[in-house]
Amino acid sequence: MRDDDEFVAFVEQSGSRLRDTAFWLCRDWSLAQDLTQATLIKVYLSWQRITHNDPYWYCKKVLLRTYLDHKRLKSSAEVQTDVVPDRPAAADAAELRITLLDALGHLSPQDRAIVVLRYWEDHSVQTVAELLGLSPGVVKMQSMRALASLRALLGEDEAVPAPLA
Amino acid sequence: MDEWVHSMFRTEMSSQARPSLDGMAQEALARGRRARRVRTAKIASTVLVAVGIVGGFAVAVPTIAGGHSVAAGRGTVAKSASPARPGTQTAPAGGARTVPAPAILTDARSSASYIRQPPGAKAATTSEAILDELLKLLPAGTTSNYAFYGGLGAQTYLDGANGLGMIRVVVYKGSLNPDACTSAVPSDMTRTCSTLPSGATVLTTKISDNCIEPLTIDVDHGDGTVVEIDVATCLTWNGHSNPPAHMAITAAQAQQIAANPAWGAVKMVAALVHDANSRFAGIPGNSHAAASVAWCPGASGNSRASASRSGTSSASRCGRDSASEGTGAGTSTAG
Repeated sequence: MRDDDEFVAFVEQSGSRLRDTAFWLCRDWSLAQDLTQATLIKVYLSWQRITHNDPYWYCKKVLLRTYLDHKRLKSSAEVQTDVVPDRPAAADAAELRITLLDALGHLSPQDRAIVVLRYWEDHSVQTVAELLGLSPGVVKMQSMRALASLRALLGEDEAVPAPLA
Repeated sequence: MDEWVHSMFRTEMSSQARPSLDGMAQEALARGRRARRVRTAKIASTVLVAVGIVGGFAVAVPTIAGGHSVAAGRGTVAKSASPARPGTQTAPAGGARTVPAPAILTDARSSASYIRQPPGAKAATTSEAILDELLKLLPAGTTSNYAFYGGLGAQTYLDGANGLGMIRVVVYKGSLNPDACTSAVPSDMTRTCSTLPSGATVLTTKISDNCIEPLTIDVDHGDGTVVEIDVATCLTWNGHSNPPAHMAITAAQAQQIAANPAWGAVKMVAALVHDANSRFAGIPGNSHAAASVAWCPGASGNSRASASRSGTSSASRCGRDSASEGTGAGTSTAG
């Protein structure tokens, strides 16, 4: 049976990873902290019953559910838009480029989760499908669609890695 | 083929200033224990109701089978089967006592209303109303760092006569479990019960190794409302730690706040609710269980009295860091 000390050790070991994933999902460090805390509390409640060899796997599932539930709440203040925010006219070319963080904001919560799991967490299509409770086909299709959106938002130049100096 | 996405994730993350994680584990542990307490209470009350029904059934069966008039002489079988308050349950016939370790709360509602709410129009209780009522009842001082958490719970810092400290209030539906007063508790915890002149039960819990809940006062209003006040000796996690703080109010003051008739787990005075809802509108996540969202009013700072009268709020969400530093940003004056 897992005890509180193990829980604390787990959080100290995996909390950072979990929060980074939460950050990519919600794009806000404060909210990422809140989502991570909410996730950890839920995990704590089941801590003694978690039988999976890797509690982080369970934790990630809880985080995704917490995030998607949060997005469904009416109180969720985030508004999706297809309009890129105005930038100062004097900004140079680098500053004018939309960042990946901005671009992720244009994806639906589920598409964003798929992209984050695939390309930040480096999970396979099969694993992402299991984590999100979707079929691999849906994950593959939505992943391609989301990548196409990102490519369009970020511009063609971003799709080609810059040559090393 | 999608290496560019991988690469952008890494590049952008490396340019992010990640807040520290110090204290996150302890905070999660403390809040997890609290959530477990509440959940255990719900399970306990469900079991107790079931035990009551089984116990009643155990009485009913021999009565019916044997044809004795035991039940008839003492009332109906239905009466004996009705759920009673925990701690008064008898064990089912032939079995050991199945009541689980006592929790603080039960879903069972007290038969008496010890602390009656004021008359007048009522509206469904909201976290905004809970926060507003807490701010009204606090002794003189400057409040800041408001937050909502749990179902109906609110938090504030109070910088008053005793120094800066954190106070939380949670309003629960149900009643206090009398077993919680008498049963064994962990070595780092003490529980004592007392009764107010009104008849309301007060449960005082002290936990020595928990700076968020070193002193907790629960008052059972007897109408299905239990009010819990947590007087902390530290502040909220600020990304680095839970900074030490003073107990901003005494146990007697906490008890007085918890016993105020204004509290209601289901409804509170409509005017208060509507006013609070409008003044604290825009605080996200208050229905998001267990997710604490710190918030404070506009940087100019409002006096609570003037904000209350005007019904206006220059609310803006404060970042966690600024909200947690306790620097007085977005303060209001209580008392």
